[in-house]
Amino acid sequence: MRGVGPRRPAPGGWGRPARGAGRLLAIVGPPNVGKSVIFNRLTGAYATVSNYPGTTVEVARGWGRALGPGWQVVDTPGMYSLLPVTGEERVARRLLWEERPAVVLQVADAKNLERMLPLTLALVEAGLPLVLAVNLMDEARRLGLELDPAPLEAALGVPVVPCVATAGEGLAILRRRILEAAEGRLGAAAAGRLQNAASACAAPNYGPLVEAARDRLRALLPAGLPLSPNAVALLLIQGDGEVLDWLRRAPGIGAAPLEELARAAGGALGPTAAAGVAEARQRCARLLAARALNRRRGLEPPRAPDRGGARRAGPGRGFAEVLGRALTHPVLGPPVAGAVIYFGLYRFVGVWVAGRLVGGLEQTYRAGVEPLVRLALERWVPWPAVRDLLGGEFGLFTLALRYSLAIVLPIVGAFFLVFSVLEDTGYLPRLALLSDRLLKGLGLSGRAVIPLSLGFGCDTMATLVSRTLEDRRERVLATLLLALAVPCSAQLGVMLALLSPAPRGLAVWALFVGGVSLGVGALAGRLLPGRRPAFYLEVPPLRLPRLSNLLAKMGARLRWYLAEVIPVFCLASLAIWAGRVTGALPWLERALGPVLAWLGLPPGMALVLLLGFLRRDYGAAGLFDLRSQLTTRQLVVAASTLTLFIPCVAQLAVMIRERGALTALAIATVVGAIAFGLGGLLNLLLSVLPLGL
Amino acid sequence: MPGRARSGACEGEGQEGGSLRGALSLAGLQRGRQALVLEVGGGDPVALRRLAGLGLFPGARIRLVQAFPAYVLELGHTVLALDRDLARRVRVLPLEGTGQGGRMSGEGALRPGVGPERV
Repeated sequence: MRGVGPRRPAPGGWGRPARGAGRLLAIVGPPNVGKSVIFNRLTGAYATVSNYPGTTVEVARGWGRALGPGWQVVDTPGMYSLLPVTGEERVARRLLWEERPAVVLQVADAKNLERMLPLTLALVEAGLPLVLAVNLMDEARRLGLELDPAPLEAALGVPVVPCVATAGEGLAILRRRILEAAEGRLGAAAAGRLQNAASACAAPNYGPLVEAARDRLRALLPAGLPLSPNAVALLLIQGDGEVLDWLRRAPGIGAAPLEELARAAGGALGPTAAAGVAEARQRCARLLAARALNRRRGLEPPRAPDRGGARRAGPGRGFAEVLGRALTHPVLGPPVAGAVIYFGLYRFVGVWVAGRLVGGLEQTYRAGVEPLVRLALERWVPWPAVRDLLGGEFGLFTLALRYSLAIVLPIVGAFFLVFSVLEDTGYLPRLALLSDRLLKGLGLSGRAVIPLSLGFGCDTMATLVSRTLEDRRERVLATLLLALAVPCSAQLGVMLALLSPAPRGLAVWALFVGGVSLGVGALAGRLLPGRRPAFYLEVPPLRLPRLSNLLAKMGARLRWYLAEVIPVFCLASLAIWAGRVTGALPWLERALGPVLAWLGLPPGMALVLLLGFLRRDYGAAGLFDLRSQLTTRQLVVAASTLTLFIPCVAQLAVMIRERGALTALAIATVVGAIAFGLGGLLNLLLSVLPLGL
Repeated sequence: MPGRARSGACEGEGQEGGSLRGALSLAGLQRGRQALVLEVGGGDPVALRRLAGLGLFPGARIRLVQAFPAYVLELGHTVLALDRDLARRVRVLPLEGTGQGGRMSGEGALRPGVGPERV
């Protein structure tokens, strides 16, 4: 879908886009403050989500219908500070630098205004045309806090708009302020006002050392940079190598100044300066927040009775907070998590949608669309090879589109709906908190619970979602576990059906797969170089989700899915077709002979294994058909090996795309070796052990 | 002092965060107790900066809400979850009372982390 959405101005262009000819609003701010809700309100949710060029970080873009013709809106990934720590922050800042938005909208959490203002100060200092939306005012009011924007506006020199984005409150004013900010050259004016601010608190005092260095570097910078010279100089002093790289490419900068700037960026001041700058801004933010936020008299929430001093007497001890506590409670939390996963994912997505709805849809597709395709092909396409490619057993229309539209789309759509609910209510961070200890044993952190639990629905999808994990080591571990240990709903269903007639076989399968998964996970967590992941997470208050926001979110994700996954299925279809036309498929079948002998399986299983990988239902059905010819031991070995092996070719394709070919192939090799190696050992073991298998 | 942040006020008083009487790690703090953050150390600079961004820095007031399966603390109106490793690296000074954590409600409570502001 890339390219269908609004085109962005050429990256690296040095001019602000001409007035009227496409103006860009960039929304920035940390996660959990309602950026995407405001984005959806401004764009009407017609957004495209795509990776920022050269990264795996997603950026949502849309036309700003609410702002007027020619407006584009971009929702940047979470940003806490102008000096980036994570890939997301780097992308957000790169976007500010390269695309020179006409207006930057910072969304802040009213309850935690003090924590939000350091970024505001940095953005104002950078001379960006800023508007500050203080969102979540409803939650702040529930805590007895009211915002007076006037002192903030006076001190910062930028418009400040209190709002409740989910309810649309304050958005009309916000829209007006954005348009005003785009008209005037508010950015430069605000930066000037900040510099000359009479109240010293609005201009952070970085100390003589940093300020002297800043002023010296400022003189070396060329004019017309996207961020103010002060901001660029400060970033360099804090050791920001990326800004230095940008400066190297900037026009009008000499070699000698560049060398000095580079020296400054690699200088000893770096970490100390970063801490000092952060502290100065925090001090400043604290004063500003104290001026702007007023605790309303008489609206103080009732104090809880002071029972032995153990009870907290404070704001917000309502039902939501009690429930929130219960959800992370060490005893109450796990059963609730189990119930959420069982009903939300297994019953709703797995049984109801994947089972009933998909069954019906697939039948409709087979009965309604496929005969038409075949008829059309017979009439208009005389070449059998092309007919096979389009409408054959593994054809584009018969396999790829049926798969992506009739089978996976409804499952993924339902999952996205559940996921959006869990996300918008604030349950996901609580689930992560509960499972952190468990996942630490596998070298992961609590955050990984999201992709891993998603894997029981669809591993391909889950591999895509594992990109939300913060460091690369954790992403690789999660990808490995998804490929090896987590069976997708389709696999799980078939294996249970196959083995349920032999309870002992089922038990052996469960113990074997579970044991191998945990063992390999623990081992990989230890062997893979790198730091153990640190787990820290903001736990947002529980919120009641709004249907319109849920649907907008689901819609945006589904559009993204259609653009990203359908091509993978089409490629798989093409690969099978090529394998058959060139004779590679029968050759592979023969090559699998020794592997089958090692597993103790009959040669007929080769096709089942291959097709199972390429086309999940066919492989499962094949195994089911062969069931009468297999002994229970062979069934257990085949089921165990298939469960451990990568579920399908789509997942392999996504692994390659997300983790890179080298890592993906390494994971595939490891998983293959474990699946077939240990499968054979299981066969040997079962033939020796007196289990009656 | 890379990877480490310390309350300026404590240094001003000639005391190291770690040697302040009664100071302990967050992992050793009693559940429900309020404390003042003295020092946030750690090997992971990314985590450290993130935590500072979330409000966990020297001078902040916290209240420990839960210690298992993860450490959960209140910082102002923010609720933050930490694992044991990180909790061990946060040195705190327990405060009297069990009121709400964070600066905004600190009437009359001990606030050694906050020096005179430049005005």
